[in-house]
Amino acid sequence: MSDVYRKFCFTVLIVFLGFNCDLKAQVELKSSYELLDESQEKDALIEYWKTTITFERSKSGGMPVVKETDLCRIVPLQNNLVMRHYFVSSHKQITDYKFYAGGSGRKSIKPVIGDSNTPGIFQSDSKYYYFSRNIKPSDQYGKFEVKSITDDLRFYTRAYMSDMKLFTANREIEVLVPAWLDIKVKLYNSDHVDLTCEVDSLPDGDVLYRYTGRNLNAPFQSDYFPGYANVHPHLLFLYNRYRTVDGEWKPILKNVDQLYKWYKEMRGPEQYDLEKFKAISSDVVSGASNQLDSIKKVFYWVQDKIRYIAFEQGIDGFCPQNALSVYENKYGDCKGMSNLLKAMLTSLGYDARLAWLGTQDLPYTYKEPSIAVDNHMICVLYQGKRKYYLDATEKYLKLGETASRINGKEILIENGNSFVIDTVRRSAEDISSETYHYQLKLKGNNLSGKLKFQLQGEAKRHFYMSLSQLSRSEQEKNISELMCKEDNLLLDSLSALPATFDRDSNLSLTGIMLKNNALRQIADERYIGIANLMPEINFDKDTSKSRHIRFSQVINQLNETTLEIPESMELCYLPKPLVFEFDDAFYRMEYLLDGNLVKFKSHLYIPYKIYKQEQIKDLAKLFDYQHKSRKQKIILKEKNR
Amino acid sequence: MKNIILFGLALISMLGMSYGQTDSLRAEQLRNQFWENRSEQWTKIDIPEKWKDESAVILNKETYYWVKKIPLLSFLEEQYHTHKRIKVIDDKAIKSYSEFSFAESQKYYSLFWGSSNLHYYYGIKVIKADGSEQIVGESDKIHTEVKHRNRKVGYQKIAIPNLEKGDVIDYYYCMERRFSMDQFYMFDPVRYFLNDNHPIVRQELTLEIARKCYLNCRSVNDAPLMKEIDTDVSKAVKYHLIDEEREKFENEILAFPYSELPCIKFQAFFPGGAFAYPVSYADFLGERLKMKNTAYPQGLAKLAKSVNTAGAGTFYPVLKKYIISKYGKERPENVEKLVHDIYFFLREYWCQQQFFVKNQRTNYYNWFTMYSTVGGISRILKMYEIKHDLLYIMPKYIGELDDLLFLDELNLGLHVKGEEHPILITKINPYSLPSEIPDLLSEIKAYAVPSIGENPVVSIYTFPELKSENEENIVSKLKFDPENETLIIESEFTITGSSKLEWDTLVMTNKVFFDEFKTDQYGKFINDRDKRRKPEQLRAFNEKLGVRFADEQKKRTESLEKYLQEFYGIQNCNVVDFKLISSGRWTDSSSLNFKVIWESSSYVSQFGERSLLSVGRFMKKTLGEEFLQKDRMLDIHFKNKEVMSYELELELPEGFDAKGIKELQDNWEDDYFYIKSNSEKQANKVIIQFEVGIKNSHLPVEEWDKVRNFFAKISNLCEKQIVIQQRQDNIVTQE
Repeated sequence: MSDVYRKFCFTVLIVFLGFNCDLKAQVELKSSYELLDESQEKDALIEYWKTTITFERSKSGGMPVVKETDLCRIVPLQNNLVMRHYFVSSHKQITDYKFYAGGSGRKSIKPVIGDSNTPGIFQSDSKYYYFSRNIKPSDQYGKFEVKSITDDLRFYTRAYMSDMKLFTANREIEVLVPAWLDIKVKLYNSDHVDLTCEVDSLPDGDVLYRYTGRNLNAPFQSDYFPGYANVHPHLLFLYNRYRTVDGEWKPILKNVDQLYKWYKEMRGPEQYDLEKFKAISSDVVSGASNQLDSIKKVFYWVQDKIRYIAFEQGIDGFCPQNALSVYENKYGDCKGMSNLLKAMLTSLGYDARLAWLGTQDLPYTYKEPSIAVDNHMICVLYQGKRKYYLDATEKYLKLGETASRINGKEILIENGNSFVIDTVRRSAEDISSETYHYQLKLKGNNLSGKLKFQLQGEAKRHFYMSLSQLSRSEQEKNISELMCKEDNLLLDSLSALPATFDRDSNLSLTGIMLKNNALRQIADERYIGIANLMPEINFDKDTSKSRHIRFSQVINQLNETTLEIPESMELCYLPKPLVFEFDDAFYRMEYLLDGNLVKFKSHLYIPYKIYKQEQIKDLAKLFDYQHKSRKQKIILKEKNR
Repeated sequence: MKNIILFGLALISMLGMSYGQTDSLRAEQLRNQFWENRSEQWTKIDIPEKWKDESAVILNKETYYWVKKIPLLSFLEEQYHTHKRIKVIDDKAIKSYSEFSFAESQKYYSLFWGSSNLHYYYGIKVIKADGSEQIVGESDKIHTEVKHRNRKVGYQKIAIPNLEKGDVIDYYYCMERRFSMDQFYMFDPVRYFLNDNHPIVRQELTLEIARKCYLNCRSVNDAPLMKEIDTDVSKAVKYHLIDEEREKFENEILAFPYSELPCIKFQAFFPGGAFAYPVSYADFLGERLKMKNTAYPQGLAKLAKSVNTAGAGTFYPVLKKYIISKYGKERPENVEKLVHDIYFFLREYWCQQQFFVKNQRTNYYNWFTMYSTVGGISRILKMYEIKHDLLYIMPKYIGELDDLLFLDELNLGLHVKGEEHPILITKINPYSLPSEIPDLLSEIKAYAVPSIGENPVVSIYTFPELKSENEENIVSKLKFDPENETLIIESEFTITGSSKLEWDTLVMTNKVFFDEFKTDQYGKFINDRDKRRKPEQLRAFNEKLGVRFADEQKKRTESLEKYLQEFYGIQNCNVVDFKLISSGRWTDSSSLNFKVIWESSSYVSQFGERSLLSVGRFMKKTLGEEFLQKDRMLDIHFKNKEVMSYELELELPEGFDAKGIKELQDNWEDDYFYIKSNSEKQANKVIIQFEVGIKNSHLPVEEWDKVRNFFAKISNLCEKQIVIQQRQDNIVTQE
């Protein structure tokens, strides 16, 4: 009896376990889906992802090599397709790849291999491996095992904890540092993320760093995404030195001196034919009234005549093109343009130098000597007591102005055999603003009057850049469209656009605005809005899904509008002032009555900085206030006669 | 064995591909042909004064097309050469022409089929203002490629050096291919539009048809005719055209550019060798040995026969079983019911396959195609010996039937003579109904091929005039929340006719198709092949399906929010609830009917004790000024004749009153459009009605001002507002 009972219990247990496992599997898939918030891709998630990084001495006696084994388990949530991208370069090769389909074991897979086609980069040595395969529904996940080798550890600079596309439920990075290698591993952007780090010293002197993370979001791609390195958790590898088999310690990039030395090596010997450049430059600066004028002429000539075409082929984009070929081809990238600027200015007797820096897309400083610190090159000119940061990749940049994307960043400037570390600082007069002045009158129900539109600084530059993408005939239309976003608004008699976009003066355009049926009669009252004539900067719902945003420039929008009240009417209502401020950003508006003039002023200011998730709500509120204020109306009434 | 291995290795070594190899001698020949001793047209650098503000002007353009059968060998050759000389005027043009990208040549080897090759040749030079020429060289090129298994596609990217405003860029690009073929062969159809995205000072088109190849060619939309020149029938026939001073064409909205822009359509073909097997579409191209031809409609008769095999081995056996189980083997009385039944069966068959672990021996590329649909219906009708026509329809956006030249210009349809009205099948998709005929087909002509009879005669069928049944009716109940300055809106949408498609793609999810599947009716015939065999597979599959349904629901909410913002032209919208009342996918309830509860603060602007409510914004937003301000070249085509009606029922909060109701009343009408608006106050409610009608969906370009006027009227109405305020009004003035 007891035997039968035992058998019965055992059967029940097996059935129960089977049922429970079944149930558990269902809950897992659904709960995985529930983990994904509105910003995340929902076709699949990474259930487990482990990267093992090891170092080996190079057989050729050069720099040590880095071996990486990447193991990634992807669960397709809605279909049966699993996909994965890997990137390689001239220093990084994939040596082996395998694919396993859940319970079905190893399956064959062939990647699509192609040259990277990054927008804005004409040539690069980066290639992608794109793997994709369908699995059976019962297989639940697909597992990729990809091994790669980097032939020079200086090029293995970072390892990201989160994936660029998919949510990662469990992440592990193991870095096994051998006793013969002296490196530092620095963790970035670990706030508000579930990350742990363990360090184990192994008996043979090796050290094992183990980083684990849970529930890591992939970035939400919006127009205002401030760059992966700025916001996503990652490890930065700083290589000090290594010991050869002979026991000799050799430096890698222990400090900035070594980094600079390496940059110089990459650049090669300076080979400017100064006589040739003198002839070229003299032609460019002919008619210049003074030294500053001739510097301007050279700087502006390079901006205007050299097209930006990015080359990142060879030595990961650290080797500048020859100045003469940039001059002859009339195209180049930041390195090529800087090289040309230096050649031209030096030939004229100025102290022009090459300088390396990281843009605002990178969070690093020279405290971290790594080639990951820099992604840009400019030319720095020493003129008297002043330094000019000449970045010819920025079009319509005035001499002395600095683009937001490099402002505040550390810069490594060549100084003979040595170097200088400086910080790029904007001058006090380098202010970006867009101002709208309207002087309005009512003619019947129609509103009309003068518009004066002024731009300065970066706002002007961006405006010129967008106009330069249009034909001359389209430019005027484009301005009218920009100024007349509101329904029934027309711009007439627009002043002529300057024949060339002048960097040294502010842009000022005038025109006549006309809004038909602007005055709306409702019962015995007349309603009119004057706050919504200038273009509105929108903040759409998708942007608010972002965890981090940064606008492409400082937003500094001012509006001054006056409305003359017709003699036959009197004012009934003026909207109340509105102010919303947080951190350094603000929106302010007010209406004033001055005799028969209604004066409206508004000011929207948002600095160039990264806003985190908790601040984005405030930012949305700021735009909401602006939007509300634009909808406000003035109420007028016919005077009693 | 050793011999077999050696033979195998030899075979393998003779199969394969090579890339990037161009014939250097041919490249040199072409370079000389395009750039040496050229006529005066290729030396000009000045542009007409009228185009001085353009971004770029094409000074000269030559296009040359050539096909030939190689003597003795079973090879065909095709060449397409383009040569352009462009004056670069501004920065925009510099950017456009600063980089080029060309495909790389490919060569295929095969022991049994010979080699075939596809060569690309190009050359670019920059002519400076002083007349000096700079040829873009090898150093300016880079190679990029994408490969998968043994397939590879390569491109050459070229950065143009020293390109400045005022320069002339002179480039040619040639495609030349040679491939093995001794059967009937149709080369790709070519549509050569005389307008380009820049104005053209002069252009030439030459077609050369050599040795045993033939040509179909037609000039449409007032394009000049191709003239025959230098003909030596034994060797080649040449056709030529010169066109001068052609304005640029910029995309226009509400237009059918293909059916209106001047264009030379041409397609070459090779009638096949002595042992060529017949192909069903060959007769469509007309007499095989006539040099220059146009399409031959009677040739459609043979083509129509191919639909006899539609669905063989896939859906047809199941369809036949279903129809016989329902109607028996005798011809049914109600043919319309039968046709609709087949249609619904096929629609459901394809809709449901995605919910099966293993689908019913069918490939997704056959789903929802007119070939499969018409083929399926036609085969059943034949089984019952019911006469019907297969229709070959040229849609309005392609052109008039008289302009037909290519097979790909025709859409397939089906027509059965009904007792009261014709039974027509013209489209299929997961939401469509058999009875819905797109407005675009109203009164247009199509070729009709009788499906029964040995030698059917192709006739012309004219579609009846379709009465507009396209309606968009939106009834919205509005609740004003003064505290949060928000409107809470309950909108019921009822959409009928062709207008449905726009909304269908937005609101319909796969869950609807899943839920609406009529298991009782179709379950025996449309089912999962894998269900009983692998329960674990099924469970995992259903689990994913559950997640997919949940995600689609979320995405629908997001899409609806975006769409409503765009539709009404408002800043924000938060969808709280969605309820599908009727999908409109079945004949007994053919309207799409759904309810959305949503809220928005965009409608309200509050100041003092007043709130302005933008009631006009409950009408569909008009076209933007950027479109309306533009002059246009082409006629105006709306998607449908349409009636859009919007009814608002505003519930006033306790103690509040509304002003400005009377100002909303307005009526306007012209030959093509009308607008009506009405309003009334009832106790604590305000009822507002707007109705906008498009009476004629096709307007000549001369009527563009009327369209502008119509949109201006709507825009004016969209700005209408009413005031809501507490009954005891205290006017606030600034101190």
